[in-house]
Amino acid sequence: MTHQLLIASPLEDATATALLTLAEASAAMIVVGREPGPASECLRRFPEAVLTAPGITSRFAVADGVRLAGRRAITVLDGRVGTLAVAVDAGRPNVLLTASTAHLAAARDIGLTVVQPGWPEDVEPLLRAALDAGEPVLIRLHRRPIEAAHPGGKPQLGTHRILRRGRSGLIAGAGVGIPALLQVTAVLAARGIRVTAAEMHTIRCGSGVDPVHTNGALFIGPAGLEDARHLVPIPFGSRSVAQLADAIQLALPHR
Amino acid sequence: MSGTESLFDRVEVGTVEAAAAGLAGPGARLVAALAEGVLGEGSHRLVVGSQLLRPAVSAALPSGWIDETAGRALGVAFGMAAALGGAERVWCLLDIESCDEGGTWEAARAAATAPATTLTACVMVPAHENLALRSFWDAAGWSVRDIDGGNVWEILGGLDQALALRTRPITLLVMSEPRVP
Repeated sequence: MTHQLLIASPLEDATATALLTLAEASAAMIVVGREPGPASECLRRFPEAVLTAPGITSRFAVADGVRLAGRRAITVLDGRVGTLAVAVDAGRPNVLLTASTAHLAAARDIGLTVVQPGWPEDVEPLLRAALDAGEPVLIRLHRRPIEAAHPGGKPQLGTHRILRRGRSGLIAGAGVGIPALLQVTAVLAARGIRVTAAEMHTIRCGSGVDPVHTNGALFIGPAGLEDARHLVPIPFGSRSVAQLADAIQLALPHR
Repeated sequence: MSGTESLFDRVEVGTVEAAAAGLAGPGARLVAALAEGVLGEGSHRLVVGSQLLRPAVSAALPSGWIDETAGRALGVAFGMAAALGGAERVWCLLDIESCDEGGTWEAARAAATAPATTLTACVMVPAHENLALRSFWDAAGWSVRDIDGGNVWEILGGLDQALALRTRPITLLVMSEPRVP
């Protein structure tokens, strides 16, 4: 059965659809707080697949219980959950869903892998991969409109997706940074500067990239992604695309 | 155990007393009754969030149970019960310290509003705290029964009631001191 919904944003819409598909197939249980967020429709259609645990401490414990019973669990975070560090055990495989940027810093501090889908089409494959990952994963859904066409193919959890190839350096972005990444690389190409553009939908702890920076910066570095520690964040600030392209052009290592 | 069979049909009080005599710490009779009468059946899970009861559980059941912190145990047990969907009963051992944890009450309220109908909390409480705790569990929407923790008959009766109840979660308040007449 295909589920079509229209909720708050393209990514949340896709997430709601993915959750419905998982719930219908009994592939996962969803643990929510007082605000079910993208699981609202799931709660209505498949109430047996959704557990409501408004309390912050107990929500993660309930998800752990689901996992210990042999099922897979997705925990929906809301703005009230500001204490990931004490509530989430980084050693237990949990999939956490959030739309809040505040959780990026918390996830970084406790060493969670952060996944930020760039397109609605990527939500379900990344969600399913996170459920199979055997490690705690925070999936952050941004609420900006997405104008760029999907690049095709399925994203692989843990690897970057190359959107464009070039030898003049590397520009990488994630989540809300994807539109800027595509626009800047197009401006640079028009100037004759061909860079590799990479979508970092997965950021692992210790990779050298701070997931918090992905919310307001693109990253540049040498062509090739062998070592993300060489990436330098270039903040968007209030720059226009052309100004951001200027700043990146100046900073590119191979210019 | 079938739907009509009682624990008293299968478990001798003397057997439980003998097993309890070999266990350390308070709650020995409760743990022995669970081990002898319930947990051997195979369709039961045990989550322990009580420091008080852990020594007796460790002695009676070398493996096959989940050790959790006081504030998380009931949440874990609730998640298990919901995920198992009634196929297995989940037992959660708590004590008065566990009931001081906010996470316990968060989970108690959540479990009462969800289909966690095969969840049983066994809470060791001093007799003088019994009334206050009873009000809390009752207000959270749980079925509640008081049990004298020194009386194997009462313990088996409470476990029997829990096994028969499939409409909402139940708390057995197991008094660690004799009931005041």
